[in-house]
Formats: sequence, structure tokens, C-alpha cells
Amino acid sequence: MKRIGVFLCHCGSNIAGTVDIDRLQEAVRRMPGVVYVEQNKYTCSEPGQEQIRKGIKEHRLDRVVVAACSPRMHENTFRRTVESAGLNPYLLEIANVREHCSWVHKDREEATAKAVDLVRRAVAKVVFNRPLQKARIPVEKRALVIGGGIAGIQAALDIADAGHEVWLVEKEPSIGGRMAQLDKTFPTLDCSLCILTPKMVDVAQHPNIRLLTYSQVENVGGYVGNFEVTIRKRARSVDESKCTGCGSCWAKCPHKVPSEFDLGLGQRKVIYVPFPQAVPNKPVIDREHCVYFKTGKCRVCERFCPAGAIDFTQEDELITERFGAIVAATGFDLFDHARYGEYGAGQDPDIISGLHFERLVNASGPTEGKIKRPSDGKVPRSVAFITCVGSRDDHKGISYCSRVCCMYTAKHAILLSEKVPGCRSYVFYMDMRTPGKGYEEFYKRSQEMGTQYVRGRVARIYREGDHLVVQGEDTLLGRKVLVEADMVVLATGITPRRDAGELARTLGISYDQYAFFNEAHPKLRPVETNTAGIYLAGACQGPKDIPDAVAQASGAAAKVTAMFSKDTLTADPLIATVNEAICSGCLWCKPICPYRAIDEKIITERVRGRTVSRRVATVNAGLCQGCGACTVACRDGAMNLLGFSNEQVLAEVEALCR
Amino acid sequence: MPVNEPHGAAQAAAPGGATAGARPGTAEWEPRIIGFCCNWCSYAGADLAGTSRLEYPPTVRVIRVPCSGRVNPQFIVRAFQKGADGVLVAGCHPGDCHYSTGNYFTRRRLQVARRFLEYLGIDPRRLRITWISASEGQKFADTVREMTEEVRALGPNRVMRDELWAAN
Amino acid sequence: MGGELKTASGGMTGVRSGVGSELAERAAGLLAGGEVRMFLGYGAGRTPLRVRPRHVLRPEAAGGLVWNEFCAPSLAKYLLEEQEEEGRVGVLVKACDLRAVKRLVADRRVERERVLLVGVGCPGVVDAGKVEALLARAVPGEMVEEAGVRDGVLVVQTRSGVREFPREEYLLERCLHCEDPNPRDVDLFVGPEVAPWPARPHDYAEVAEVAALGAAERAAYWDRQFARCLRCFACRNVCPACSCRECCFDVWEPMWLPREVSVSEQYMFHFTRAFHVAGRCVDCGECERVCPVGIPLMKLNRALQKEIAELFGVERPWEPQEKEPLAMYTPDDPDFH
Repeated sequence: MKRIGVFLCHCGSNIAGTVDIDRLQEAVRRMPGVVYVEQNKYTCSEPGQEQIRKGIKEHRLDRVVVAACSPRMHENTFRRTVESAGLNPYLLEIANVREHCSWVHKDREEATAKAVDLVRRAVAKVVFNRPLQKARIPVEKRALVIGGGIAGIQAALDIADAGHEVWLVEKEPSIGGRMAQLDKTFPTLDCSLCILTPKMVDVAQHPNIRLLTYSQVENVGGYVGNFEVTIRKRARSVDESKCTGCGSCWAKCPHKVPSEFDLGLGQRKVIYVPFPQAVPNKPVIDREHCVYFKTGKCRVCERFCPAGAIDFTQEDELITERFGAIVAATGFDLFDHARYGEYGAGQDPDIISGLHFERLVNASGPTEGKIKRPSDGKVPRSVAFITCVGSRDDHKGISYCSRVCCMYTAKHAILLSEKVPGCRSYVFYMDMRTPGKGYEEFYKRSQEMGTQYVRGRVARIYREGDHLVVQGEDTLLGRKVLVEADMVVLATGITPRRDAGELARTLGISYDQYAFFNEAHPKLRPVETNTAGIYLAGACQGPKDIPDAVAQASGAAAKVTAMFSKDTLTADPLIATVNEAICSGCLWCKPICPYRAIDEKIITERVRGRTVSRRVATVNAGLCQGCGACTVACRDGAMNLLGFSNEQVLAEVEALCR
Repeated sequence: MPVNEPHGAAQAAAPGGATAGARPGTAEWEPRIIGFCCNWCSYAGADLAGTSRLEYPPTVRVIRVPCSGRVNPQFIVRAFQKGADGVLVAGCHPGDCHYSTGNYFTRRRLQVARRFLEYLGIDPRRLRITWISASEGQKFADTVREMTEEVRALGPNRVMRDELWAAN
Repeated sequence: MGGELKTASGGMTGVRSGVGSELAERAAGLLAGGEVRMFLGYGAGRTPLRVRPRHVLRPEAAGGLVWNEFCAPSLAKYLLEEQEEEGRVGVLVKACDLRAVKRLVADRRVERERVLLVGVGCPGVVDAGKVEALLARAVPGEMVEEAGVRDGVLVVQTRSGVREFPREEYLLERCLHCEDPNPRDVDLFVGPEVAPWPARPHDYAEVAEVAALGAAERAAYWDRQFARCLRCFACRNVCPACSCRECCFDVWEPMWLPREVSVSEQYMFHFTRAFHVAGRCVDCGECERVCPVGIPLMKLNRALQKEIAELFGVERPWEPQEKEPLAMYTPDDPDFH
């Protein structure tokens, strides 16, 4: 038989002013299981809490109900009170007779009757409360950052500076990401690589950071605090311990292919570093195009390497390691403007994307910073810029705004007018979005430098002999507009990487209809995911500019270091639990869980003298967040939720229907 | 005249109650509505109605659940059996669930459950599913008010009712 | 028993003689060869209109297996009991039975590799309960001496004479909806394929009938139906979608279903069972066939099939879906406000 103590709070006159506490006490005294009832003026105050402690000890209470304000206010307070009296903190229930009763009903009779019902509910529920302990999960204090762009670099540096080991895994032969492909950044017109390379070097030199380039995450298992990750370190065909980065090999390599870094506008050698400031400055042999790997001939690089670092026999290496936290910072791809048939379908070499223009204007790009149009190398005298190509376009299935295109278009217009004085530039826009610090002023500057902004969409771009014709509309003047341009730059939108979905599935995180990774809450938890221990930084979570990517990266790093500040994590014990005796092993619960907390396991039993094994569901206490959605999918009720169990809710329903 | 009385049960007054909760058939009958509210959104919204001192009829009795996805249709049937005249299930707006997907399951399950209950003879207005965020205190109060009036017009619920329980 | 096989219009088919003996031979072979440790099939029943399940363990006993138009029951559920023993179990399945087996496999209660499916083309089976009721109405206490389907007509030899039942009268309701009487994806097939007959579409007419009643009449209707319920659980026991190790209705803590046999608890039972099966019902109709008091259970299951089909655009809800409708969601599901 339970010994339930009920503490009725007056809350000054907040409750007692409306609810007749004496009559409430009379009714509560007669409820089954109740051995002690007391009134308190302010239960949450120190004297009030002392009353609870005294009541527990004097009356040997094994369950406590407090009728007071909302549990969202003081459940934790009273749990600590109860715990300090030697009773398990989860043997407490709260009846909300203030926010849900005395504050919303004026009639004393009605409010009192309702208060009686609410306390009856709490008493009926608390009978089924069980003592619970918070689970403890050990934490491996090593972080994995996937993606070596500015976001990944920042996150890695912050976590490493906090004193923890970080592995930074990057797919390309060098870190740097998209920022390395840019020329200048808005609104300061800082040289992108000049501000990026010091951070890249910091990463390479940081004692706490292990840098793995030309590598990819292949498999992720485990859970928060204990991820087990397999990384494939692809074969560079160069022994990094011997290579000095002298460059003899790529200088002598006789074969060239289009450069991915230059988006095909220029060429690179088959043994190469993607750009001169690469970190690590060690080349990679592109085995797909290397003549030696295709025919067994050449080997020029090996002949000219003074350090003997070329190693054609090198193989991919699979490395498995444990990590406590993972930061996904895998960045973005660009919308493929070939999908716009009306803009040349990607066929015309002089209709290029914004990133192509960056490569043209960059001093270490394919044209050494001279703006020459791709078709014939001519310096353009007029350039048209089109914004919102692949953004804000429901017809192309992309409804969002890419956030950076208005700004980088203004930047391109400014750089163009500096590099090619007298060049006419037109920007066709829908809206000019300039939300950051100094952004509006920057846009103004581009207008002052002579860029002509035309508000209207472009219907068609076609070639007319030597030049292109941009057929658009000036909606402010209400007129159709035709512009002759030597080159057209399409501000193509930011999309997730083509393989983002695959990586998300490997990590076990969710993604939206575009394949941007989902944050745990759009407003209040922008760097966490719903998978505990996995965080987000940069454009993989959504289009953003460099300052926001860096801020988010530092935010993710803060979450990681907060987790690493403890040796173990405590998990809330109000989680789902499986009654293995009746579980059928159908696992219909598994697809319901958004945290992937449910898995299957095999148990063995003795049945009629034989040992048999069968499958049951099992809940990972570290991952389960206690929503209970799985319990409804479980038809025989094997899956239950501690703190809001089937027994408890049914008892509450019956108590409230009297 | 109430319909569907398979065993012609007698009506008796419940103990401990004032006019609110007086049994059906008596002059003072008031609708009894059981509400399932999720901790993160609708329960907080109901709390906000309280802190804002909004007034609404004392017909609803709230059961807190972590997520509206916790609400098993069998709980709803049990409520009707034991004398509820209406059941309210309030959760976060779809897309805003604290547990990211719980209320999507609520939505599917309870669409089916509500239509099935209607098929069995329970007026669909007796089972209201609605989305109330933590900032929508007014919506909580309005919902209770509207539902009380609707259920009052429908009268006490007879379908599935456990007459032995009611007679005690 | 058994008649000539006729194809095409009118669907005048019958079980070809010889299929039964081919089946017995095959079963005996599987047992003798050790491919299966048991073969589940049908044997002659206590009355000519009914068959009984046979759990055949020895090849010599396979001779007692029969195949005819009276083989209405589904043997699928027996597979569940047999999972505890090692080894493979063979089972005779009609097309509708195969859906039941697929359901058990999809629910991971039966392992496909441990079942050997022997398919047989079915000409449509006799609704023995219906025929018995028709006979009893004409002559109370009527005894059946012999029965067989010949040229699409059920000929019953009773003590008082011979009665004939045309196909539309004797067929089990689910056979009217049958699109393909030959089970596909089986391990072995015995006998010839049976030509399909025009299938009545799933139009949920019986559901619309009840839905068209006003709320009060609807409740009164279900009160009357459920008042007859004995809580015998035959419907649950035969249902392939009901395969829980420990059924919620048998569990004591929590008491999902109080043992009181009142109309109120019958609602809880039928609502819950139908809801638990919702989205997974294979439309075999076995529940309704086995109910000893004639509750129109398919009016419940089909109502849910219809809801799920309409609400979530599931085209053929009686087939196992790639993702079970109630175990998934889309952001655009029909909403509340």
C-alpha cells in the first residue's frame, strides 16, 4: 500500500484566493493511498520545502504530490527537495491548480471541484511512479570535423584551442573549400585566400589537430560520446613523409586535364595540388587520368622527384577511430544553370556562373586575374549579371533564397569596374537583399561605381553573332529591355552537395527536401541536430555567408567543448523501455523514432527445456529523448514510457472522468 | 432524451463534485472534456492562458504528455468509456514538434481514429485535435470555450459509455 | 467431388480432379526428402461442407490431404505456432492465404526462409456457414450427407433431398473480389492455373451503408452488433495481422481491456483490434468467417482500409506496402487546425 503525502500550496492568494483549500484538503484526505495532507503558504520557499522534507520523514512517505503551480515551473525544484529528504526524485507528481485552475476560473465552487479532480489525477498517477536513476554515458574526448572549408576549419581550431583532440577530414587534396576559390570577399573586399591561408596553416600546425585530406568518412556507428567512425584515406600515390612540396613533379608532368578547382576554365597537371596555397602542399596523382596507371608508361614525376616520394603502389587506408562528437561542415554545391534552357542550357561558354567569374577575376586563376571571356579571350565591354538563377524559383523546385548572390553580384560588378574601366555592367534583379553589416553600403557603392541595376527577370539570353542578347524587363519603368552583352554571369544559387543525402544517412541525421541538414530547432538550436552528438556548421545546414558560417562553426565548437567538459553525460531517465517478456520483435517501433534510438537485439531463453533465441526491440538510453511516439506503434504495449507510462495515463484518464 | 441505452442504466450523482461534473441526465450537467497536452507546446500554451488570466469554462481536465505522439487512441476510447463527453488532443504545430516528428504521427493516427470513432457513432466534434504553440494562450482558451459549447449542444456522450462505472 | 475445368465468361470453374492427389504426392515427397519437417494442409472435415487443418509429419499420412472448393480456411496462422521448432514447414496457400503469409513475414513473426510455400490455383471456395444457414432455414436441423461442386454449381445431398446452389449463392464474399486466383511468388505450384473471373471492385459499399446512417442509428447499429460478442477472440486468433506474442487484450498491467463483457468493453475491443490492424489488413475476411455470432467484422476493417486509402492515397491497402501507412508520415498529410 502506497504512502502518499499531498502538499497543497496556497501560493499566497494566487491559489487560495479562488480555490477553497480546506475543502480541497477534506476531499484529498479521502483519496486512496493518501496518508498525509498538509497546506503550505508558499511551498517552493525554503520553509515550504522544509515542510515537505519533514512530512516525508515523519510520515514515512513513499510518494509525494504537490498541488501548486505548473510543473514546468517547479517540478525540478520539488524533485530536488524530495531527493534531499532521501526519497527518489522521480516519486513526485505535481497537480497544476494555479495556471490551469485558480488563475482561469473565477467561480469558487467550480474552481474547487476542478482542483479536487486535478489532485485526484496526480494521486492516481503517482501510485505508478517508479524510482529512476539518471543513466551515465562515458564521453570520448575526441572530435571529428567533416569538411575542411572555412566552417570546418573554424570549428576544428576552436575545439583544438580548448585542449581537445580533433580530426579534420577533407575530401579534396587540400583544405580551404569554396572560400579558396573566391577572389575577394564582400563587403570588405578582403582577399579571400589572404584571410583564409593563415587559418589553414594554423590547422596544419596545431598540435591537437590531425588533418586527413583526400579522405572521406565511410561509416559511422555508435552514439553520442562514443561514435565509431571508419575513414578512407585515399591513396595520393605520394609519400607525405618524404614529399617537400618542391613542385618538380607537377612542373615536369607532361599531361594536363581540365581543372576542377577552376571549374573547367583552366587546366591542371595529372599530378597536382589544387591551388598554389594548398594545405598540405603535397600533390596527389589523379589515377583516373594518369598515363602510368592507364598504360604503365611515363613515370616522369618519379624520375624528377628529388625526395623519392612518388609511390605508385600506395593503397587506400581504412582508419577506424572513436569520437565523442561529430561536426558536419561539408559545405555546398552550385545550382547547375544548364537547367535553364532559356539561359543557354549550359552550352554557351560566355554564359557563366558566379563562381566561374570568381576564377576569372582571381590573380591565380586560369586568366591570371584578367577578365577575358571564355569563348575567345576577348576583354568584355559589357557584362550582364542575372540574380536569382536557381533560387526563389518554384518552377525549378527551389523556393528558398540563397542569401549571398545579391552581395556577390554587387561585388562582381565592383571588381569588374576596377579591372575593366569603362566596362558597362547591368544587374537584373528581383530584390536586393543586403542584410549584413556594411552590406547595404556595399551595394550602394556598386551603384555609385556605375553598375546599372534593372529590376526585372530575364526571359531569355541568346547569341547574336559575336555577342549575347539579354532579353529582360525593367519593371520599375514598365518596359521591356534588351541588353547586348559580351558575357553574362548567372548568380547561381547555393544547393547542398550532390552527395549530402548519402552523408546524412551515413551519419544518421535528417535532411530537408533540398538535402540541407536539419537543425534540431530552427530558432533555438541552430547548430545541433536531432542526433545527439552530431552538430552542424556552415552552408550544409542552409545557405549563408562567411561571417555566419564562422559564427555557426564556433557555436558548434562550443557545444562540443561543453560536452567534453564532463567525463560522462547524464541521460534523462524518462525514456522508453521494452518489456522483453512480451515484445514480439516486430520492430514496428523502430521507424517511428526520430533519434534512431531503437534497435533490435537477440535474447536467449529457456523454453520447454531448450534454449531458444528470439529478437526483441531495445532502446538506447543515451539517444532516447522520451517522446513516447514509439509506444503507440507498439500494439501489445511492450514498449512503455517511464514517467508517462500506459498504466499512469490510463489511471489519469479514469481519475479525471469521475 | 438520450439515445443508445443498451442496458437502460440508472443515473447517479458522482461523489465529491459540485455542479461541474454533475452526471448526465441531471439538470446541472456540464460537459466533461479530457485534454491531452504536450509538455513543450500546448501545455505551455495552457500555462500562458493562466499567467495571462484568461478565463475559460472549467470543463477541461488536462493530462500532460511529453508529445502529442504519446496519445494512444485507446486512451481516447477509455476516456469516452469512463464518462468524458469530449476529448481534446493539443500538440505542437506540424513541423515544430520538439521531438521533430511526433506530431506527424499524431496527425496520421488521429485522423484515422477520429473518422473511425465517427463510423462507430461518436460525433467527430467530440474529439478535437488542434495545434497550440507555447505562445498561443488565447488559442487554448478559445479552443476550450468553443469545444465546451459544441459538446454542450451535443449533450452527454452515451456511445461506449460504461454504465456500471457511471452508476457508482 | 471435382468437376471439369471451364474457362472464360461466367467463371464456371471447378477443382480439377487429380490436383488433390498431386498435392498429396508432393507433400509426401517433401516430407520424405526432409525438405520440410511438417506439411500444413487440409483434410476431410466432420461434415461434407467443411475441411479440417492437417499438420502432417510423416510422408505416409500425406494421403489424407485434400484440395477442393471447401478449403476455405487460411492455414497461415498455424505457421506462427510452428516457428518455435527448428526446420522448415510446408504450407498449402491460395492467393488470399499468400497475402496472409506475406503479412506475417512483413511483421517479422514468421521467417520466409523457414516456410515452403506450395501454391494452388483456387476456383473460389464455399461459404459453409452461409450454406448451412440456408439449409437450416429451409429444413431446421438439416443433415448434409454429401456435397460437391460440379460445373460451377454446389450440389448438396441432404437427408431430405438434393439442393443446388449457384455460384453467386455459395461463394465466400472475399472470392467475389479475387483478382488473381493463382498465388504468385510461391516455392512450388501444384495443379493447373485457374482462369480468373471478373472481380468485383473494392468499392466499400458495405461501409457506405453504415456510414450513411445518422450518428444515433450508427451507434445503435453497433450496439446491436457488439451486444452479441462473446469475446471469444476467434477473430483475433485467425487474423494474420494479429500475431503479437502477448496480445494486449491478455495483458493485465495495464488492463487495456477489462474482462467485463459489457457493450462498453466490446467497443474497446473491436475499436482497438481494428485500429491495431489498420493499414495492415490483408482483406482475407477470415475474421468475419469464423465469428460464431456473425458480427460483420469486415465492415470495421474495410472502413479503416477506406479511410487510409482516401486520407493517404494508398492505392491497394490490402497489399503489404513498402512503408506501412501508420508507421510513416508526410509533411503534407491531411491536417487539423
